[in-house]
Amino acid sequence: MGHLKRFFYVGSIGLIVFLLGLEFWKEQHYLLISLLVISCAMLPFFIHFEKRSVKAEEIVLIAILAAIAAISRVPFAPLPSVQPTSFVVIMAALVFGGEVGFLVGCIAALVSNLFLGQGPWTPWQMFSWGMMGFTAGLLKDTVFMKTLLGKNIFGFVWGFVFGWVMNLWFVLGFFEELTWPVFVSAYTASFRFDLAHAVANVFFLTLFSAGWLKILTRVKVKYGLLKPDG
Amino acid sequence: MALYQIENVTFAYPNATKASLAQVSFNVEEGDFVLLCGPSGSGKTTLLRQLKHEVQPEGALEGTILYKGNLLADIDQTASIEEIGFVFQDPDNQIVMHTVWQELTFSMENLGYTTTQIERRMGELVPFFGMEEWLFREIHELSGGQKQLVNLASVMALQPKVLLLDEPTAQLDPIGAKAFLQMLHRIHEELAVTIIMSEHRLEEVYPYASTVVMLQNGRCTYAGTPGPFLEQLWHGEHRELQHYIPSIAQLFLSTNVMDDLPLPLTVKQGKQWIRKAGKDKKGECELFDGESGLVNDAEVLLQCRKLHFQYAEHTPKVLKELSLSIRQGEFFTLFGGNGSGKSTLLHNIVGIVTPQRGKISFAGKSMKKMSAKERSKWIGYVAQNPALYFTKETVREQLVERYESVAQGQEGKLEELIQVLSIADVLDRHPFDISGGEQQKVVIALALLADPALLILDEPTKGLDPYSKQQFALLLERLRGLGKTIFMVSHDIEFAAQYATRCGMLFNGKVISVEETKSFLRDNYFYTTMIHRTVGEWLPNAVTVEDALAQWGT
Amino acid sequence: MVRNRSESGFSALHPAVSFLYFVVVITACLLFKHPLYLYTLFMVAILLNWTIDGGKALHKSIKGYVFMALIIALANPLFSSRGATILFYLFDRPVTLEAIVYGVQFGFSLFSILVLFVAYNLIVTYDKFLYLFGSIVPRTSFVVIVTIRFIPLLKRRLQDIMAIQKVQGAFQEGGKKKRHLKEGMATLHTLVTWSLEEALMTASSMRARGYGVGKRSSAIRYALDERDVIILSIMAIAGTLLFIGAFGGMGQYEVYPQLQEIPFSARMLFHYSSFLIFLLIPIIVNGKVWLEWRFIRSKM
Repeated sequence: MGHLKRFFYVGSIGLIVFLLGLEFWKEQHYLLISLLVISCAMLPFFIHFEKRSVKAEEIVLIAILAAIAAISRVPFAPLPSVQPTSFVVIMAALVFGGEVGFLVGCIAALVSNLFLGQGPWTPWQMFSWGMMGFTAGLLKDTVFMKTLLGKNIFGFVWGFVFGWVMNLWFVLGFFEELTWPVFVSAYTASFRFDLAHAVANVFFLTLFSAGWLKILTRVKVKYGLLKPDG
Repeated sequence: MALYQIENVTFAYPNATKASLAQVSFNVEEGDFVLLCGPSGSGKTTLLRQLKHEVQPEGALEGTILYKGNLLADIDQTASIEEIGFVFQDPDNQIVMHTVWQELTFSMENLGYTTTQIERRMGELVPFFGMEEWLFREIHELSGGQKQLVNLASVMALQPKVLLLDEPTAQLDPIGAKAFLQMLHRIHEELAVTIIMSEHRLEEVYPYASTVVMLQNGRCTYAGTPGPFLEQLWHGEHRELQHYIPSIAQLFLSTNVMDDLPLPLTVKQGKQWIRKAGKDKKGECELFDGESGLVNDAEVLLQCRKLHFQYAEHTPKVLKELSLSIRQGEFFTLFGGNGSGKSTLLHNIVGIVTPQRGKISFAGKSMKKMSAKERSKWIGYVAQNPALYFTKETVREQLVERYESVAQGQEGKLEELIQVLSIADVLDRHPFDISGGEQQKVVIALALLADPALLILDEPTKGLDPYSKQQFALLLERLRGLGKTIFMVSHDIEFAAQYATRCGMLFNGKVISVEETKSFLRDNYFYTTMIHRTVGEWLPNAVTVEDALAQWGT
Repeated sequence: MVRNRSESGFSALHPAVSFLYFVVVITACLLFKHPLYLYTLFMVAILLNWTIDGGKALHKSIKGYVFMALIIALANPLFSSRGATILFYLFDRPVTLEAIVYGVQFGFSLFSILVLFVAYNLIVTYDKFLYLFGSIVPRTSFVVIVTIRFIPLLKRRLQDIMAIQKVQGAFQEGGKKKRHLKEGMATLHTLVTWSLEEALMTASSMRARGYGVGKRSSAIRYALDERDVIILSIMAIAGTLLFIGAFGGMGQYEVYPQLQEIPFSARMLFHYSSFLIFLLIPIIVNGKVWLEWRFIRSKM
């Protein structure tokens, strides 16, 4: 594609997005605006992944980790509201960095939705798990994330943030006034689930993060992915 | 000019103390069918991988490998991918895409073929492989044999000049393996594709081969026409290599009636030889009743009475009124086709699922009343895939964990098992870094730690090379010497014929025709050994090479 | 992955056509507040499901959807006291007629969206979805396909591992929750170690067959055919009118500060017709196929 043509495409798409956003804002269609916003937030990750050079090993690695994250609930079937997906996403990000973390989270969410049926929640789930992976990857070399306490705080906080983001789609879309009472009641309603998610993250991170970091680091060497972080 | 010229190739993996390949030299001509044989760990996979640039392992390579006179690294990338195809051992791991259609087009898409080109190739490829029926199926719905055919077809889509195959049938059942090898034979005959294949099923491949290459400890000990190869093995100094010789050829070589007759490999050739050699006389009938009496008197260890099982309400019944008893001290083998419910039966016995009706008891005690821990005192279960058992970083940790949970306090138990199974060398290695045979031994050790009376093995000889099989048989004999009873589910008739005491067949949800091994095989027509099919006409009681020789009195 | 599955009617059209349809219709559910428009969307959503599979898929989840819609409809008057017509007081807060109507509007639009997603999942199956995005983000959708390929494989491995664990005494019924969590994690531990080990061969097999050599092509020819073009043109015309009208204030209904008469005008009728034409496309396509099979072919 020529530069001019590419510029034209990008420019016109940008313009449409901007005009739609403006219109939705004026008419208070916050759900549509927020969808535009999260799509724009996720776009750079995909563009970067599409453009850079990727080894076959890395493709397989992301696919396996995303598949494991997506089906990781199976062994816990009798225990409702326990899902180690977040744990797997965080582990992937801590070893392989933010981009892999984002992709693992995002693809795990997408794939489970492709199997279970997509709904208005699909983009939100992709966004939440993707961002959980990305932020974990960003912090992976900090002193904070090297400590168990740091990882636990991270997992605990994300347990709640995840639930809050997931509440957004219907709060934004189907409540007329976005007042504090609305948010507070929505978040109280989901508090139990969010807490369970946060506690499960802490539980898994405390008991199993060391073991998983070891496995994944071993794999990093075996797959020859040690050099650049992507 | 030869297609491949392999000269003085030496190769060592990074950090390895010893070279995996040492001074290997041989040539491959266009149109050859090269059979690469040798024990596990002799460097077959390493050598095959050296022959295609894209899959060469990292490490130090010396010597030269020329393809059509050029160094592999110098060949144009697209040409290298198109002309040299590679099929790996495990049918599942090499599949990348979700449906058969996607997998077949995968390689063509990678090379940027146009849609028209792809459609045309598919139009030829699919009927050649007879895949019309399952073209749009998802990969996980296929059998292992079908998956391996998909892998072969996906490589053939690029119209390669050479096919490299790394034990492609090791993970398949006999029927799947046969279909695969026949397809390969067709590709060789009809399309004149050069084939270089490593394989343990010599009986079936040997007749197709035009060249045999033998690897031992990374060295090439034979490279040439198949004719003299087996005789050389037979007379060679390495006794363990004699197990590689197909049983009919073994029989032939043992009789010393060499003459000018060609070495027979198939049942048909074997019968011709027997007639020509004048051995087509009725042998004396001696029955085996004397032997079998001992086992029949022994106490019943495991009893299944009228088991009924189905996975869900409206699915077909897998087990229908199945009854079976295993006696103390015997080595029982259960045969049965694919999907006949062999694994399901084992799952019922070891407690993974429970039968809807019927009763399973050990030494008279009902299984329902046992806890998992109590059950492990009776049964040790060794599943087909050892990888399922590994949760630790080293073999030692894995064993110690199991020791602590089931054998706490029994001093020396672990050390004894390590010695019996000879796994002392691998204790500090990662369970995934050791060979398949070693992994299997570790799993047997895990099962034996609880000191069970009965050891249940699900297809333990699958993928083992002939020598390892022999070693495995010796191990089982040793365990029986220690008082263990063995219950094996298998497709491996030749193995059972030599070592099992009783056999039975699972068919239509029931165990039928349970008999002492020799009479079981003697009465079967299809389901019996190559030797019996060859000499049975004259020696109705012979099922192994030893039987035939004994009855001929040679 | 090619158009030879046993699909007919609307599902047999080019995936871009059906995807675009759902994008527009679901957006419409959020844009319009006019009772007639909302009711039409509601009816079309249900009718569409009925023409696809006789409503089987919808039947499974409809109860939950009704419940969600009811919650949303009831929640609004509890949180919002806007509006002039006070009906009664609840916990000292006025409950207004306008807020109730507003809530019902929300309930309808949420319900229609959920029901449309049921139809979406039946028509835009994941292979079509991946085909659509495969041309925009090829590598990402390739990773998604490989992930989908791994899922049944890993599930089977997971079950095999769990079976072995069960033999060794794990996953007993009535066990402690913490113990179950640990055992479940042991399963995942084995799965991840083993699968990552095995997947190295998958990568080799990809490279052996030329992955990463150049730009990938596509084996699928999903070109627009004549029928796709006709339908796409109708959709383009009706859709443009729809959005122009929407941004010009059509299809709206202000309940605040006080319920008004439902707006009705010639302009609106024109806008509504283009809206209806757009909405009915899949139903007409499916209906035509149904009629063909019932009445025309059966006479042959």
